[in-house]
Amino acid sequence: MQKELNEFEMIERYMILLLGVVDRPIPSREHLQKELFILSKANPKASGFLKFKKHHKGPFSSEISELIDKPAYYVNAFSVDKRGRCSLTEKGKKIYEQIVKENSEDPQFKELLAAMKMIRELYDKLSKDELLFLIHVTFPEFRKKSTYFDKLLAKKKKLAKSLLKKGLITEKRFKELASYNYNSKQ
Amino acid sequence: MQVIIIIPNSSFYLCFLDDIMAPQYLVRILNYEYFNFVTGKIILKEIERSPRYRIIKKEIERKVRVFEYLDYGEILRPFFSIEEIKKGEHEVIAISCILYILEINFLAIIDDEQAIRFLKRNFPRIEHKITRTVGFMEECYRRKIFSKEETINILELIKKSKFRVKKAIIEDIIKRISEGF
Repeated sequence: MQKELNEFEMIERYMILLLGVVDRPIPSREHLQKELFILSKANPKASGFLKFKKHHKGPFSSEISELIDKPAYYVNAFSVDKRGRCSLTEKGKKIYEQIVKENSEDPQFKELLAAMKMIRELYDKLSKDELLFLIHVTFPEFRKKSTYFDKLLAKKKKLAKSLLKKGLITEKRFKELASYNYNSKQ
Repeated sequence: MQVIIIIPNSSFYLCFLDDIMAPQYLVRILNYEYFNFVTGKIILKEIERSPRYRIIKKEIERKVRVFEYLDYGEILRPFFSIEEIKKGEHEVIAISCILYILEINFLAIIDDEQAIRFLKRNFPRIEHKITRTVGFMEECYRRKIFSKEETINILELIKKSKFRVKKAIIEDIIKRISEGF
């Protein structure tokens, strides 16, 4: 994507691409936040725009939180339903198609879309608690000690079992998660 | 013949370097003209830890492309244990998924049972693009990189080494090659 774009426009573009790359809504606002966080970890270029801070629910971007409701550049591109599911409006879908068309010859852009698709395929399958538990444990540097994380820890065995049952974690990871505490290494 | 991208795990390289101590076979595979090797940063780091890495260092630098634009392994990090992450099997899965979505022809080498199980559950579309180190030897024989005798010799060496694979799997492959296919 072009470098001269404003920081906020770039963030909105990343949001549009993540929402548009799979034709179904992202399950929740938390999923949107954490999926973009994973993207920022995987893609150094994206991490220049997508900035995350420590939060009691793990890595959090106040920009993403604001822009999903009130985008500054792509007005009316996003929609959030009563259950918190995030998707593109018809206008947003057209913008997505336009961005893809403009960058269709760029191999790095294609890799970026492929990575986003992979993120969606995996992380959309997680329940909100499973998602937050995995992110809290994997990236402790982004969590604040909180009662919220304590609640997740209280049901760590149940969450780990459910992740294993879904085939989303390996058996070795299951053992780590089921016995996780504040002092565990990551 | 079409060029195919090969994404091996670290065990593949370490099998030749440390387990059977026969780096000459690895060099021949790396130099096969219809294979393009790619790897990720974690896998490379794991191979570099081998005391014999210096034997193939130049060959790796010449023949293996390191995927650098995206740190694909990060996408899968939450789903694997710390020990598994260090080995880099998740990196092979992540690179494979990306290449599949990009419709690029590839073959990935994964030996870890849990990683294979994870892939089958979450990315069943790419299951047929995955082989094990010993299965890849069969592919090398099919492409005439090694003669029948050489392939069987390599597989026998692997069988006797500490490389982790079920003996029955090796015996099946040796039988198929001996009978000629």
